[in-house]
Amino acid sequence: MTLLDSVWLLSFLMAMASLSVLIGLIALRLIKESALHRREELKKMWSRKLHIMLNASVNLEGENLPAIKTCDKEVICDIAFDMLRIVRGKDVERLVANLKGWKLDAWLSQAALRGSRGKRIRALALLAQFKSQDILEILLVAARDKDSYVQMAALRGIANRRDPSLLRKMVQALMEAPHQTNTLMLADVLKTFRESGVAELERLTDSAMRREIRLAAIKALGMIGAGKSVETLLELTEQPDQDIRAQSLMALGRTGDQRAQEAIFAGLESESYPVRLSAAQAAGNLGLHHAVPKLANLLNDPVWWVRYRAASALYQLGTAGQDMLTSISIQQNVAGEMARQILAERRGVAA
Amino acid sequence: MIPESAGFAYTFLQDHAQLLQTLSIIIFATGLFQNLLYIIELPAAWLELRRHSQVEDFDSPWQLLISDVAMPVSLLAPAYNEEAGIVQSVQSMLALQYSDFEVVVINDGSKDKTLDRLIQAFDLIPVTRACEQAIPHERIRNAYGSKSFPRLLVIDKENGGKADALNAGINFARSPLFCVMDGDSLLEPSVLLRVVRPFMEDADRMVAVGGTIRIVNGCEVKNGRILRFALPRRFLPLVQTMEYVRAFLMSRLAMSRWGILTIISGAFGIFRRNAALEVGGFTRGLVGEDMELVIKIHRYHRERKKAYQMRYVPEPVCWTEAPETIEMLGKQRRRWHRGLLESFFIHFRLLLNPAYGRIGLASFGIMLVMDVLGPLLEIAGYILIPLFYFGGILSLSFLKAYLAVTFIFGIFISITSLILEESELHRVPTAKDLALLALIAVAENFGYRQFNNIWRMAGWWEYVCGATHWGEMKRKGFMAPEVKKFLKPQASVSK
Repeated sequence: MTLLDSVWLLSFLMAMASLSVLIGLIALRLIKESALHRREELKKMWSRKLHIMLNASVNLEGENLPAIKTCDKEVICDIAFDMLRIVRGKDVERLVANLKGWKLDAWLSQAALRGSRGKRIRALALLAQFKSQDILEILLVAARDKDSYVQMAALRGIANRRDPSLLRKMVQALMEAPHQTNTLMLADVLKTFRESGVAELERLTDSAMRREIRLAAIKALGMIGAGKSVETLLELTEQPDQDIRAQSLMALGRTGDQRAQEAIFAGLESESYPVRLSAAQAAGNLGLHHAVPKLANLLNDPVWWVRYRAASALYQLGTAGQDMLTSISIQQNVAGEMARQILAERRGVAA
Repeated sequence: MIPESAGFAYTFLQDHAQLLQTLSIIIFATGLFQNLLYIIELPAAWLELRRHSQVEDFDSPWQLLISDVAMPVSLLAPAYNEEAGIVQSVQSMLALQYSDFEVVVINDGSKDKTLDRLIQAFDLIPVTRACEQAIPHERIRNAYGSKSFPRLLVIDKENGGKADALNAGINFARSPLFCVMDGDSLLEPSVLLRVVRPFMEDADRMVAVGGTIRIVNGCEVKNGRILRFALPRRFLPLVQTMEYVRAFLMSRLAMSRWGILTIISGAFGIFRRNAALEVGGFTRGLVGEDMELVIKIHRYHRERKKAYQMRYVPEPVCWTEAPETIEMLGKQRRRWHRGLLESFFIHFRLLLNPAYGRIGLASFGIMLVMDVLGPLLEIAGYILIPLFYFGGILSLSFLKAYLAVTFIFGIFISITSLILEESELHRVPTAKDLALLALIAVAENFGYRQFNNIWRMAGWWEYVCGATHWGEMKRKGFMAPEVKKFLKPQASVSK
C-alpha cells in the first residue's frame, strides 16, 4: 500500500470512527432525554415535599421522614442546593436536619471527593451547612485539592463555621495545595471570620507566606476594617512589594483609624503609582484634612488615575478640599483640567 | 476524433507534467498540513476544555455575584443607526448578573433616532464625566447619564467608525476591564461572572479573554432574554451554527492552550484597559480592528519581553444573528477575510520571526498556511487536481488521497468538534438537533465549504483593490414584532 492509499484509508477510518462515536452520543442523549421527563416529575414532587416540610409546624425526624430511593438522592440535593440560596435561619437548620435524617451527608461526602468539578463544588456547598467533625475533615481534604475552585468551595465551607481557630487549618491546607491564584475570591472567604479572625489574618500577612495569600489576607483585613489591625497594616506599608504597600494603604483607609495618617502621607509621595493611588483614596476615605496640600500636588501627577483619585479625595474632604479644587480649576494645565472636570462631574453640571 | 484544442491541452499537460505534478504535491501537502494541524488541535482543545470548564459549576459564579470582590467591568457598545433594537439591547445589558459594571453606549453619529430613543427610554440628562484623553477620537458632542439607571452612560460623538467609537468608550471607561460587544448582540445573564474569572486568577498577566459567539436564529427571544434555545430551521444559519461550533471549540481552544490566540471577536471580548491603552487602542479605518488589536497587544508585550496571557473561555456566550441569505453571508465573509488580511499584512514582520516567539513562528505561520494561502490553494486544487488526473498526469491514488484530505477529513473535523461539544458543554438542545447538526457536518463539506473559499478569494481581491467599506448588513432583528416594524437595514460605516 502506498502512502497515498494510506492517507485515503486513514481519513476514511477516522471519519467513520468519529461518526460512530457521535451516533453513540446521540443515542445516549436520547436515553437521557427519556429519563429527563421522569426526573423533572421527581424534582417537582420533592420540591413540593421539601417546601411542605419546611413550613410544617413540627420537625419531621427519623422514621417520620418520607422514604427516599437511591435515584431521589441527587434530585433532593439539587433542590436543597437551590433552596439554600433563598432560605435563612431556622429554615436552613431544618433543611439540613432533613438531609441528615435521610443520611444524605454520607452521600454528599462521597460526591465531594469524586466526579465532575461542578458536582463536587455543589456537594461541598451543601456540606458547608453540616457542622460535624467528619464533614470538617472532608472539607479539609478538599481544601488541598489541585482544582482551585473545588478548593475554594471547601474553604468557604470551613469559613462558614466562623471559628477563627479553623483559619490556621485553612492556611495549612492552602499551603499544601498546588496553587490558589484567585486572590480576590480568597479574600472574600477570609473576610467571613470578621473581627474574630483578625489575629489569624494578621499572621497570614507574614512575609513567610505565599504572596497571593498575603495579598488576600490584607484585602480581607481591609474589608473587615477593624481598628485592631492598624499596627500590622502600618508595618506592611513599609514592605518592598508595591502591591502589598498599596493594598495595605487601601485597607488602612477602611479602618477609619487616624493613626494611619503618617503612612498615608508617605504613600502620597511614593515613587510607585499604585501606592500613590491607594494613598489618595485612603486619604479621602479617612477624611484627612491635613492631606489637602499633598493631594493638590498629586493633581499634577503624570498618571491620570492618580490625578483623578486625588481630585476625588479632595472633593470628598468637604469645604477645604473643594475650595482647593476651585482655586486650582482656573489653571490651564492638567491639574486645572482635572479640578474642573471633577467639580463639574460631582456638582452635576452638564458639559 | 479529438478536437485540436483538446489535443493541444493534452500535449501541454504532458510536456509540463513534472512542473504540474510539483504544483499538485504543493496543493496536497498544504491540505495535509492543515489536517495534521487539526489533529494536534483536537487533544489540545479537549485538554483546555477539561482544565477550565465551568460547566455545572453554578456555585462559583453565584459566590462571585454575592461577593464584594468582583472586578469592575465597563461594557462598551458602539451604536450606529440602531434605533430599532438599541433600547432592548441596553436593557439586556443593564440586566446582566454582575455586581460592579457600567454600560457605556457610544452613539457614533447615528443619522436615525438612536440617541432620541435612548434619551426617552432611560430618562437621560446631559452630564459631565471626567475622562482620560488617552486615545484620540472624533469630537464628543455630549455625554448623558440617567438618574434611574446609574450604571448607564451614553456618549454622543461624531461619526468615526466602530474603532473610533470604541476608542472613545475606552477613554470614558472607569473600570480596569472593558468588554466590547456589538450593539445588536445578546449576552447571557451570567456571562460576566464567568468571563472575568481568568482576570481574577491571573491578575498580573491576563490582558484579554474571548468568549463564545453562538447563533440566535431559531431561538425564542423576549425582552433581550432567550426564552427557548433552538437550532435555526433554515439551511444557511444552520450550517453557520455548525461552523461556529467548530471554529470556537477546536481552533480557539487549542490556540488558547498554546498561548497563540490571535482572534478575540469584536462581538464579545474583554480586555484590560491598560493593555489596550498601551497599544493606542483600536486602529481606525480597518474592518478587522478586533483582530488587529489582539495582534498589537501580542506584539507590544513580545517586543518589551513583558509577561502576559490571553485566554478563550468556552462557556460565556454572546448570541448574534447570522446572515440568512447568500448575498449577506458573502458580504460578511469577504469582510472578515479582508480584516484578516489587513491584520496579517500590517504585522507582516512577525511572520516566522523568532523575535516574536510562538506568535511569529506558530500563529502567523498557521495564519499564512490556513487563511492567507489556504483558500487560494484549495480552490486551485478543486480545479487542477481532477484536471490533471483526467489529463493523465496524476494517478487515481493521488486523486483519492486529495479527495480524502479535502472532503473526508473535513467531515472528521466537524464531527469531532460536535463530539467535544456534546461530551463537555451539552449546548445542543436535543438529540434530534444533534443528529441534524451531524448531517450538516457532513453536508457542509459539499458546496458550502467551496462557497466559503470563493468568498475568501473575493475578500483577497477586495483587499488587493484597497476596499475599505463594511458593506450593509441586513438583519431581521430579534426584538418584539411591534418593534420590528421600525427596523431599518443596519450599516456600520468607517470613515
